Amino acid sequence: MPRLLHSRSGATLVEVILAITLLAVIAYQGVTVLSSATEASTEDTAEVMLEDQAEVVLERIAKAILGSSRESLQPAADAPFTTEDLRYQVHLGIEDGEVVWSDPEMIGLEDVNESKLFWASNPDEADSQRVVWTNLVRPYLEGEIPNGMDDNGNGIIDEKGLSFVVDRRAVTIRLSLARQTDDGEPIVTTVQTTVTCRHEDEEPDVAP
Amino acid sequence: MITPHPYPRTSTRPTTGFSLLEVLIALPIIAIAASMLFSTIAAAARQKNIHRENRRVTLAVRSVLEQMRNEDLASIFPLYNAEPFDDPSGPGTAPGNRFAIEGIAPRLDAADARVAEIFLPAIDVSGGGPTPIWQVREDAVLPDLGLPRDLNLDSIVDDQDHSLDYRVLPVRVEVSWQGALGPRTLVMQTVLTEFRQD
Repeated sequence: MPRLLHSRSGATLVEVILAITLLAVIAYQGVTVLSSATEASTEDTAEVMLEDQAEVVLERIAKAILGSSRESLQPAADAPFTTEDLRYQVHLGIEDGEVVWSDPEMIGLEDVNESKLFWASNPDEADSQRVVWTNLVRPYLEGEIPNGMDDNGNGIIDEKGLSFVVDRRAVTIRLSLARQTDDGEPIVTTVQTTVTCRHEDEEPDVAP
Repeated sequence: MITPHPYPRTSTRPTTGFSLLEVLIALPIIAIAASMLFSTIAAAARQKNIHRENRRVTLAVRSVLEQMRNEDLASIFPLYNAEPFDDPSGPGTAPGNRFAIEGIAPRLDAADARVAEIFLPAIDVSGGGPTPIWQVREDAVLPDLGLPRDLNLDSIVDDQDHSLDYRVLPVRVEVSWQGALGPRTLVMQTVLTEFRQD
């Protein structure tokens, strides 16, 4: 019974080596695919989180401007003038037939650390309240470099990572956020919208 | 003492490796599992693109609606209708009723990159003539815009042209584009008006 004995003797060394090699190749391919998929997923997650943060900040700014009046906006110059700091007052309601306006508020970039975008109430007062809405603002808007030229073709030279362009009652807000992934890959997102001041105020209470 | 098995095995098949049938069954199972894994990964990537498309389109449409709000109410119809000859600053100078959105691809059968179209409560009264004549009409049957309805706030729905005296203006913006998952459409609607009459 030599055939039967041979069949029960197990795998040969060649078979074992072949099997291990094949398994190793398949496992390597599988791990490579899974690893790249995980890496891509992590990067996608970081991008989506950055985009979400940009959107949330943009919405906050937009809602603040929606509730303000054109007359309260400072600086008051129209397009093509652009600014990274905007002051305004919000319409709080009507009392005894008079419009009640909020204290002056401000949205802008920190002087020292321009990656911080903050909102402040009574910005010139000692008891000013400040809240940082994000600390990921890019030094310049996506596509812009500080060279005295309009690199991204939107008509504004060396535009900062946060910019406001006022056109009559409408304000165009542009915001670029940047961060690095865990692997050190830079990711940038830019959002833009236009909102119109819904209120009018013949005698703004904002100091010129 | 070894007792012989009552039904001795005459075949050596189970100890010689996998049969062709076993391999044929195993391979599809592995293929299905792998395809499920990859489709999950691909779906996550597509979800990101869909999210990005939604954000871009929504922000762009809102921006255009806000730019319309920034105009005098009476100027909105000539500025944003399909007719270039009534543009306030001269023919072809107004934004018109269609616009492109950066980063949003037009449909495969689209004539140009302008993926968004603005609809106003206007109808062509030229009767099929070569040059359309657009009028803002309260009696237009445009359910998407809520018409027929009173547009000049005189409490009457009539068959007159209200291009110059409308006081409320329903607006509908429809965006059709080629998305990551195929053709997509997004619609936003609002009603523009002036609460303060100078």
